Parts: sequence; C-alpha cells; structure tokens
Amino acid sequence: MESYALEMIDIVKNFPGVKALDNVTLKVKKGEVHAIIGENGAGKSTLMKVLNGVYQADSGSIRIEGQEVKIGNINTAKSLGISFVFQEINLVPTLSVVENFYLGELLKNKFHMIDWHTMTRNVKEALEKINFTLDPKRRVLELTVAEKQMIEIARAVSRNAKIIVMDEPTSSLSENEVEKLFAIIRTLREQGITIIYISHKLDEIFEICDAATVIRDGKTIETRRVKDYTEDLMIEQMVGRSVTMEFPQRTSKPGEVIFSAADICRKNKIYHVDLELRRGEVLGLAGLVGAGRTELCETIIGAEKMEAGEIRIFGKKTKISNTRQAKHNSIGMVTEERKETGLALDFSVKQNIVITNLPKVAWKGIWLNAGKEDRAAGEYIEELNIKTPGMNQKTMFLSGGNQQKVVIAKWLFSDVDILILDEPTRGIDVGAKFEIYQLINKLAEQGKAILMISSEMNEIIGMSDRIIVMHNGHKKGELEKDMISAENVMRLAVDTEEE
Amino acid sequence: MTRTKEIRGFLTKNMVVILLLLMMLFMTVMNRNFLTLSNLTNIFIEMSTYGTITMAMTIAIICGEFDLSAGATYALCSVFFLKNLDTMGIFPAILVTVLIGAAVGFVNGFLVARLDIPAFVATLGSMTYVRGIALFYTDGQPVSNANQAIYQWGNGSFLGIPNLVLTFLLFVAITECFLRFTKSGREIYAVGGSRKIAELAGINAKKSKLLIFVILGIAAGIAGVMISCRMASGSAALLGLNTSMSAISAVVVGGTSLSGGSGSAVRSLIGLLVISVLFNALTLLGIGAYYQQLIRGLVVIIIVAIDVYMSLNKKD
Repeated sequence: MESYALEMIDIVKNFPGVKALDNVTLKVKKGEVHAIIGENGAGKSTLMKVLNGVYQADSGSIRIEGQEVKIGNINTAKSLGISFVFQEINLVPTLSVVENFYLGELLKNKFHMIDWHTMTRNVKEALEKINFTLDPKRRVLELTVAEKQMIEIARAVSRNAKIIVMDEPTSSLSENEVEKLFAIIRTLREQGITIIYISHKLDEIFEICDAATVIRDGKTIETRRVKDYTEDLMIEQMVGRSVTMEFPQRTSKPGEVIFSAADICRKNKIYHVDLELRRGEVLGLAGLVGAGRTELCETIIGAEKMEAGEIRIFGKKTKISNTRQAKHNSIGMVTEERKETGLALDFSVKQNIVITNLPKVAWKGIWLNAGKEDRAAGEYIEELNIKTPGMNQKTMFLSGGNQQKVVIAKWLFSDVDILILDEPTRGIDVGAKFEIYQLINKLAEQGKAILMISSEMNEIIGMSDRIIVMHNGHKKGELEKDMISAENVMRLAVDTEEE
Repeated sequence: MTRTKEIRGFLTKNMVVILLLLMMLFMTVMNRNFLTLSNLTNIFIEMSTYGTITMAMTIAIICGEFDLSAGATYALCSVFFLKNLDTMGIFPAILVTVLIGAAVGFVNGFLVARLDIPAFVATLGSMTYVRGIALFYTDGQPVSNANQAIYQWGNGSFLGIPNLVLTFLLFVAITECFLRFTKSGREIYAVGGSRKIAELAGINAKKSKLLIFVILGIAAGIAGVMISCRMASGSAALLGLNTSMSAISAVVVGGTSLSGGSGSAVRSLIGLLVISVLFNALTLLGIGAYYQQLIRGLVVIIIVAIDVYMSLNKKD
C-alpha cells in the first residue's frame, strides 16, 4: 500500500443553491508535486478552502498521513503542517522580511528586547534551505512578487510544513522567475515535502508535476500520473460536460462597428489587444481568471492608464482618461463587484436607476423632477421585473439577482451605446440568471453593443455572437459564431504556446 | 414580535428627536425660566451664526469631506466686514466679504479636489493661514464699528422673529432644497456614497468637491456678516475658535455619518438644537463653564456611539 500525504475523501460542500463540491476525492502521495486542474468555478478554490479550514465540508473526511483530522481554521491547518502560498501575498509591505517571518511571534532575548540577531540568522538559514539569497532586512514593499513568494515558501518550510499548496504561483512571474520557482519546487520535493500545485498552465504542469487531478463541476474526473496524460485529454476532461442550459434566443443581427480598440497596452497587464464591437452584438470575452479581461476593460473605460493604443467610437478617435469620460463617450460598465462599484447600497432603487442620467429627470438641468424620477424608476422596475417592496427601498435589502437588475436598469436609463458587463450573473441564482440573459438580449436588440466578460463556459458560449479569448494579457484568438465551442475556447485559454 | 420590532425601528430612527424632547421636558420641569419665549429665542440667536456654517458643513460631510478652516474664515470675514463697512457701503461690503469667504473655500476645494490632498490636511493648513491673515489684517486688535444700521438689523426682528434667526432658517431651507431637489445635490450624495460609482455614472466628482468647499466659504462669509451685525465688533484672535468643531459635531449628532452619502439639513438642525439646548440647560442649571465643556464632549461621543451601535444592530 502506498503512503499518502493527504487524502480528501468524498468531500461535499453546498452553498445556497449550488453544490460546489460533489463527492470530490483527492489523494496526494507523499513527496510528489500534484496538480489540480479545472476551469473557472470547477471547485478548486473551494476544495482548498475546505483544506485550510475557511469552509467546513458538509460531509467527507480528510486524512493527513493516514490520520483522520478535523480542520476548523487556518491555524489547525498550519499545525498539521499544511501551508498555503496564495496569489495574494500575505505579507505586511511596510515591514522587513525578518519581521514578516516572525509576525506575531517575535523572538525576545534575555533582556526582553527583540532578538534581531537570532531572528535574522534563522531567516537567512531558512532562505538558504530553498537555495535563495536575499537580505532579510529589506522591506517587503521593495521586493518583487517572485521574491515575496519565495519568502512565503521559505517561511512555510521553516515552520516544518509537510504539504505546501501553491495557488497559481506563476501568474505574475516572468519566465526567468518561473525557472527559479521550479528549481525551488524540485528542491522541496527532494526534501520530501509534498506540493499541491494549482494552475491553468498545462505546459507547467507537464514540466513540474508528477500527478494531476482534474476537477469539473465540483466532481473529481480523474487522477493520473502526468506521463499518462496528454494535453488533449486534459482539455477534454476539463470541459466535457453533461449539463446544458437553455439560453434565450436573440433576434438582433450584428450591425455596424461602433467601437474599436487598437493595440491597447497597459503596463505589465495588457499587451497589444485589438477588438471591434458592433451594434446589436454580444461579444464574449473569455479567458481564465487572471487572463487580463477585467484589466482590459478597466483600461478601455479609463479607470486605469492606457499606455498605448487607440480607441474609436462611432469611427471617431477618442481619448478616455477617466471613467467619467467613458460615460460621456457612451460607454457604461457593469462591474464585477456589484456591491462596491455597481450599486450605491445606501441609495434607493429609484436613486440608483436615475443616477446615470440625472439631466434626463431634471428641469432645466438643475431641478430634479420627482414625477419624472418616479415614472422612470417605475417603468424599469416593471419592465425588468425587479422584486422590491417599492422604488424607495434601499438596494442593500434586495437579493443579488434583483440588485443586478437594478444595475442593468441604471445603464438602460443612461442611453449609453456600448455596455461592458463583467461577470453579469455572478452570485445569482439560476432563475434570475435566465432573466439577466433576456435583458442582455433586449439590450442588444435595442442596438447596444455589448462586451461580456464571463468565466462560465456555458454562459459565454450560449450568449456570444463572437468570442475573444485572452491569455496572460494577450489576445489569444477570436472565434466567429460557427467556431464557438467549449473545446476551442479552452484550447485558446490554456494555450501552451509561447506568446 | 413585529410590534416590538416596529417600536425599536422607530426609536432608532428618531433617537435624537426623542432625546431632544426628553431634554426639553426635563428642563421645563426643572427650571421655570427654560420654556419662556425669551430663552428659546436666545437659543436660536446663539445658534444662528454657527448654525449657518453647520448647514454648509452638512453638505460637505454628505460629500465625504469636512472643513476645519470654516471658523477662521468666519473670523476673517467678520473683521474684514467691520473694517470696510464705512468706506465701501453696506451692500458692497457684504458682497466682497462673501466673495472673500468663497475665495478661501475655492482654495480649499482646489487643494482637495484637484491636488488630492486629504481635506484634513488641506483645511488644517488653511485654518492656520487664514487666521494668520486675519490677525495680520487687524494687527491682532479687536475691531468695532458704530454703524447703527447694521446693529439695528443684527438685533432687530421681523414679525417677532429675530432677523438673524430668519436668515439662518432661510439657509436651512435653501440647504434642504439644494440637497433634495437639485441635480448638484443628488450628485453630492452619490460622490459621498461612492466616488467610483458616481464617476462611472458620468458625474464629475472633482466639481462636486470644489463646489462644497466654495459653499462652505460663502456660508462662513455670511455668518461673519451676521455676527458683525449682532455684536458690532469682532476679533481675529477670538472669534470662531470652536466653530468648525461645533459644526461638525452638530452634523454628527444629527445622525449624518462622517463617511458620507447620507444626511440632511433638517437632521443637522436637530443636531444643532440638541447641542444648543444642552448648552443652555447646563447654563440655566448653574453648572460651571469647565464642567459644561466636559459634559458637551461626552454627550457628543455618547450620542454617536448609541447611533452607531443601533445601526449596527439594525443590519443584523
């Protein structure tokens, strides 16, 4: 019998309305580098959150080296020897490397003063152990993302981690840095440390991992040795799906180009992206998390600085340097964070709807006309079937689906021609989703051009007239209607070729 | 069950009003001089000058900003008005005084809106330099003016209501209308609630921020004229030392959150009343000035703490 470092058996985790994990089983052998792959929302993150105690599984068991354990919180996970290196680095930027290493548990000497000498020496040793050199006195904010990762890894090792989980560790590393990271991973493997490696990049998985588990729709598809996998088989397992959802039909046909962007660049995020948007069409923007889709849209609407590139609206060259100008140039954006940047939660439904176009409800552009406001709000509440006790209800009391409808109503009222929707159905239940799709169709039929970011494969395939696939800040490809399929999208999204 | 919930909701919503009524009831029983026309008139007259500034402060706080320099501007405007009244004539002097207030506000607005300097730092600086200008301008000496016309207006009344109180109430009404019924008013709420959302909706947040500081400056100018008319004298060194802080605390006691996005002129009026009635009550009860200061500070903290606590509970 082989010895497993970690076994997660038949893990089930339900969220209201969603079965996020449906009997997932993950068995990781001691001292191997084990990849977990799956498309966005397949359940990888949820599984890891069960492992680090953020979520409690509804059923199933976890065994560490054969011992059954209960993980109630991140500290339990730590004490069991499981460490996590996440995409967002958990280091205090204004403190030094040493201070971060010993955060909350600074060593003291016999005079009850901070023992810098011992701590610095220990940190140096820990860094040496993973073959990495760096002055421990440097402040974290001066370090690169790669260096910060190394520190997290060194800290994990120095705390006797037996299992290190790395979530998309290479997403913001250069090629050179990736090589260094891989060298460290190999060192760790030689030391008998088990590594769980979550990545979208298939080429990396073939290079560094020993085994891989594919997860799809909250279920384990298969675990194989990497040498028994092919890239095609992995992609097939990632996207192959049983459930198909009905999408409402749209009658509009794409018209003339009203928006075009050429050679859009944003520092370290977006590289030379071109796109065209037609009246009455839904252009899907696909890609894996971190591919740069939201970043591209932020650049277009002027929320982030565009380094190079040209935007034309109705054929006219236009410069957009802040989000206010975006609106004035007929671009609206429904952001992913509905509660932070989509809705003013303290505002009523009515106030949220009319905010995008106050002149339309103001007399002589100065005095708000309460009658007009009420009529406008009433109209949209009825048309969009927004379930609210009244138009003066604060939006914080509405359900997610209804909040999203208010956000869309807001942009319907604004008269913009170009609408960017970032994950328009995230966190919304299935029934409300269908209604949102109908609304998107209605917007397209009104002649608006829609750019839709979505991480749900079904949604992007079902709703788009055309799809652009992003990868690492680059436009990887464009799929016309007849070329749209889950395999084609995924092939571009995980593309292993050099850019 | 729903009944108790309703009552609790009502209490939470109207906590400050209920407190005000309780305080007034208590005082009416305790002291027969409290509920007299002359005492109540006094409360309002005392309140009218810094109350005018409080209204402008309400607008600023709704927009997510505040102004520490309003008191200094108030002093500068007062001494300027008194010194130039005779040479300029009353109405030109009023106009120029208000323009000076607006200019100070514009500079604050420029610093905050254009240069993105936090309001705390920007207005802390202007609080100091504006008072410096006022001291330099008067050589640190008190200024007085024997003009009868202004003195009579400042101490006169119309239909039994003192002119200063009328001016103040007019300002309350204008502020309420501005916030409630104008496009700029609504934009100020939006910017204060979430600048990001406002800008995505095409609102010029910088313009809103500039506007609120100019309004504050104008209000300080008007208040400066009002106090000069009442007292016929002013001092660059002494006038308005606590005005900004009193205005901010009145707004906060009225239930407007410092984080912006909500609030109203009427709420601030109630906040002003609570503070003024408390002050008046402490004086009538013969409590010494030092104790008064102590009690007022504690009351502001307690009221806001209760408000925060209750609204936290409400969200659960």
